[in-house]
Amino acid sequence: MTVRLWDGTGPVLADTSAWMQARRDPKARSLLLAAIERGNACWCWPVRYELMVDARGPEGIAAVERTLDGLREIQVGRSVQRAVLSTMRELAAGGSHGAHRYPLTDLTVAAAAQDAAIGILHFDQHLERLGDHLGVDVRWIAMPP
Amino acid sequence: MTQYETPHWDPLLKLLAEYLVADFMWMHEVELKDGTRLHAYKIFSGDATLRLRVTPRSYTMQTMPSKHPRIAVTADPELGEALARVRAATGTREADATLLRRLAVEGAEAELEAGRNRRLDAEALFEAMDSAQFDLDLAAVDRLNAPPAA
Repeated sequence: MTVRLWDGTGPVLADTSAWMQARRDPKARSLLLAAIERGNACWCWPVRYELMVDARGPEGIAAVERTLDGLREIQVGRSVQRAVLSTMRELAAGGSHGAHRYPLTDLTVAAAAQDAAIGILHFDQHLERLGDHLGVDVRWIAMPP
Repeated sequence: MTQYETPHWDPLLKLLAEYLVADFMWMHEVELKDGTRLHAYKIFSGDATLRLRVTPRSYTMQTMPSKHPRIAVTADPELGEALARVRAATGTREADATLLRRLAVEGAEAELEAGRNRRLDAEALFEAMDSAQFDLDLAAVDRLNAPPAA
């Protein structure tokens, strides 16, 4: 498998897994912070939900809100929701039993990125497969295990 | 310089046909020590400035090559509306080019400041993550990405 590692350039939709990896990997954190400063890191609603759910209380929630409010939002509208459904249909038709059963957040992130014509920054092999299926540029924020 | 608000085209029209005047922009009016009033015009296709007396019995032309390169900006409706909103909100009477330059310089600083603030907010978020204010299941991420068992 060829690992497509992010070089820190270009606008990207940062998946929750990218934020989590940046939490523990100084190099990944440095790259993500630089992209945030340039205005190149984007968010979408499922990622915001996940980061907020992981916060233990109001202070953590406020930190998520302040950070994401300053970044570009990738819209998750009706067309993206429709794209999630059609992606599941395609995966189910083209694979083995349960081939469409991806986490809904990953499906939505991938469909939103496709709709906005933007790449995905991640640390989640589900998004590698979804990106390949949808023709979305997907990049690891760090070398996978 | 006595004024740069009210264009005065008569001196130029006494020299050039009206269709040629369309290629010029009026810049400002100057009053010399002897009381002579000059109007400065700039031709769109170059950096030369033409200075004419109100009564064009004689005129001088000076070239004023700028030492700085110029940037062409299309005055489309969106830009026009943006400038109009600033004028309405602030009451400024700056000429378009002056206002545009000032907004660009100030906007660049605002853009950089916004970037610094974004970074500070994100650094605070990571500090919150570092100080156990989040239940990040990093082990789950590792299990997810683990190669399949042989």
